[in-house]
Amino acid sequence: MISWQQKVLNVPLHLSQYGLVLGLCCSAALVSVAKVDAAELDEGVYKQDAATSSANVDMADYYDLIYQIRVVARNAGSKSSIGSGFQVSADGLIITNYHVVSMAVDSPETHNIEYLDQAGNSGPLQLLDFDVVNDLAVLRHPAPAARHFEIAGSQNAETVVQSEAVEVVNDDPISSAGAGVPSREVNGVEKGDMIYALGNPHDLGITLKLGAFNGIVEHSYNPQILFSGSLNPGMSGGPGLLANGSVIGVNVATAGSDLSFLVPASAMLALIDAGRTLSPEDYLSEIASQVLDWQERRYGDLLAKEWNRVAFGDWPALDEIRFDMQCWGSSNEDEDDLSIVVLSKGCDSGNRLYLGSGFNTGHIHYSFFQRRSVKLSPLRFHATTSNSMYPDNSGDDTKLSGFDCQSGFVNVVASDEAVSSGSVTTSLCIRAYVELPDLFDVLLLATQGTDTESYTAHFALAGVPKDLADQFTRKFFATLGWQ
Amino acid sequence: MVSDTVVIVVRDGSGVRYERCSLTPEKPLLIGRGWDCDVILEDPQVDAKHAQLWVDEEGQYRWVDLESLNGSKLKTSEEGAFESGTSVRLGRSHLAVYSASHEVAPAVEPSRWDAVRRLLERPLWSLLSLAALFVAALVSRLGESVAPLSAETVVSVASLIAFALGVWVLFWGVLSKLWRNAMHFRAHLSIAAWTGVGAYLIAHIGGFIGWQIQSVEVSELLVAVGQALLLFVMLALTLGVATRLSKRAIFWLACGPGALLLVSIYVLPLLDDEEIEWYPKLVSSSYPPGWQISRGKSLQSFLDESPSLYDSSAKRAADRAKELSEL
Repeated sequence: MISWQQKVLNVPLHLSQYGLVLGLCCSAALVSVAKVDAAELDEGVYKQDAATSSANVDMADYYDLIYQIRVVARNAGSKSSIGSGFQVSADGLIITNYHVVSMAVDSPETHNIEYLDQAGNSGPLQLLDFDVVNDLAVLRHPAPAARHFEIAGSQNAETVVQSEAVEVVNDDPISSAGAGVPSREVNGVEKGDMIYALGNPHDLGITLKLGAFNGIVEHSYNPQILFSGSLNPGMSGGPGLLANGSVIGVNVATAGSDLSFLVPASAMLALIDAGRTLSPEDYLSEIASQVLDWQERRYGDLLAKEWNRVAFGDWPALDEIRFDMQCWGSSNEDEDDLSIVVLSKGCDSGNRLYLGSGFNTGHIHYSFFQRRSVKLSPLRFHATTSNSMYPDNSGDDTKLSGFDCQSGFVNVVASDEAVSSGSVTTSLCIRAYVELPDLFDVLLLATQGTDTESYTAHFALAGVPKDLADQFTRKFFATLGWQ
Repeated sequence: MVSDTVVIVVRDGSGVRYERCSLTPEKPLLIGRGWDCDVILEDPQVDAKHAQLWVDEEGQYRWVDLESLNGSKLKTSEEGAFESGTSVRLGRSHLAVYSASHEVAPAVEPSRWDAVRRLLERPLWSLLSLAALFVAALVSRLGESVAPLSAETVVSVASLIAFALGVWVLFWGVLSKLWRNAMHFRAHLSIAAWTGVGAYLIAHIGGFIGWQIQSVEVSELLVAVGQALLLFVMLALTLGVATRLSKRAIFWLACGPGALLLVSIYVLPLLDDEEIEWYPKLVSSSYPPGWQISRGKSLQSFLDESPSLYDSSAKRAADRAKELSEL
């Protein structure tokens, strides 16, 4: 039925069903596949021939140093997710991705983490610490190998290349913020240098990928290295190596043909330097505090900034309010025989934290819609302005509460002529995280209009503490000119 | 010589009719399924020669059952004597025997409603009603989606077409079976269909009117009334058909889609959350529980009230966490 309301639909139900289907039709690499598929699928994918130049360096030496990391369901006795990992210290510290071992973090009582080395030996690994923000985990090998990788930029690395640091991608002051947000600098590597990614894709065996280092990804709050080589499920957690064999990053995600991402070594060093050993009962509170710390830095900076208001047809909109936002717009004005003109503009932050299978958070989205009736009666035009809003993150009912909403016709005063005073149909919906206290998903939909024209402003925030979400909401209205 | 003329009102498998007969003590009236009877009944539960009716020397009506398989049920004395106006049941059929001198009520002038009823009983009118229902449904849905077809629109239009098909199955299934007795039923169907059109319109314009006069309550009320009328129509159609056709196979064919639709629209949404709040669920199945509605607030006070949403959702999450840990 059509009504004036702006409806909220809880999509995670469908997403979890989708996850179930994946779980049935895919084999062990489920977790890595889910992570990889989640990455930026809506960006345009272009095709090019894979780099065919061969490596001049003998990388075969390093094959033995790569482990396959498996999470094994204790009862089923077989692997339920796989990834790669590598030793970075003499005392047996192994680095992999958080998403490779997330199942063991989520239910440590039913899942073990195991390694499988090149000689075919396997054994248990102990999870020491993790960093959900940068998608890293550190494990301990009970019987360390004699050799290990050196991390580029570490104090004891003998092989640090002394060339100039890659230019910081932007002048953002947070780039040097405290633990958890690594520097945007990458030691001694220049754009265009060849680097090597190692891992065990699809459990087929250790594979080497050669590709160009393309600097730090531009629209990402968390620094990530852009690597022109294809990473495949199962390679997650494998090392990205310089020609001299030192580790520059950790394989983490892909956006399709030859667009792949590595976590920079600095995040890895910070995690190792922390030197912690978490106990399983602290896992949840650790995830909560890491997300909370990250959001406080990320939103604190965002809220301190001046937000630019830009023209959007006859109405206002927000632009890319920080470097990690990307906006896209569309219009149907060039179509023939229009009955309604629709302009839309949507902005997203690329950072989405993977917390578990079908469970993620951290997304920021805001969008604006403008509809102008060309030849619709007011009745039919009204019907087209009934909006829906959806959360951009997902999680099932064991992870997220249902929405609590408040909506109504709110009287606003316009602070300038960009918007109108009068009534705005506003809906605000909030849900909380079952296991992560103090974090909320917040959705807002605000519509103003006449019989022939309507304007809608919307945002969806995932995993935000209450005070920051409230400040964001107020700043959002204030910037658009509504008081 | 005693004789009397009676009018027998007969209701059997072929409908209702009136038989005017002359009774004498010498020549009883034979009643049954056989073609040699004086009053022939179309009813498989009636014997070929079921009963006899005559008037005795004292002018008393007498009934004798001819040891039929299913018997005759009527109020008589021991000798089978009965009064004028007595009704008799044999098999599935009914007879009522009246003396020809029985007083008949005077004719009345037709009321306005009779004219309406006659109009509604026209077959063409029923067809138009259903077509209007279909068009109203389609327009109200398609009006939402001038933009390119989304998956949501496709699903909603498909469900409408399924709904329309259900109505058509009902219509043709019922009408073909009941054509002879369909006069009242067609009226019933027309009323239902037109109520449906009205319900769609009310639900459709409810939101618009609410928007115009800035009243959540009016909008909610109109949408609720529209939806309640729709619910009524579907119940009326389903039950109307059920009572007419309960012993026929086509009943299931006819009622199936309607019943499924009822369940999917009104029952399933009620089951998807442990916190059932009937009113908002009934108004719109896509409302989450815990929806608060306000009007005429300033933006400041709207935002100042939002902390309660954080608190209530946090409480729900905490309750859920507790529930999960108990499992």
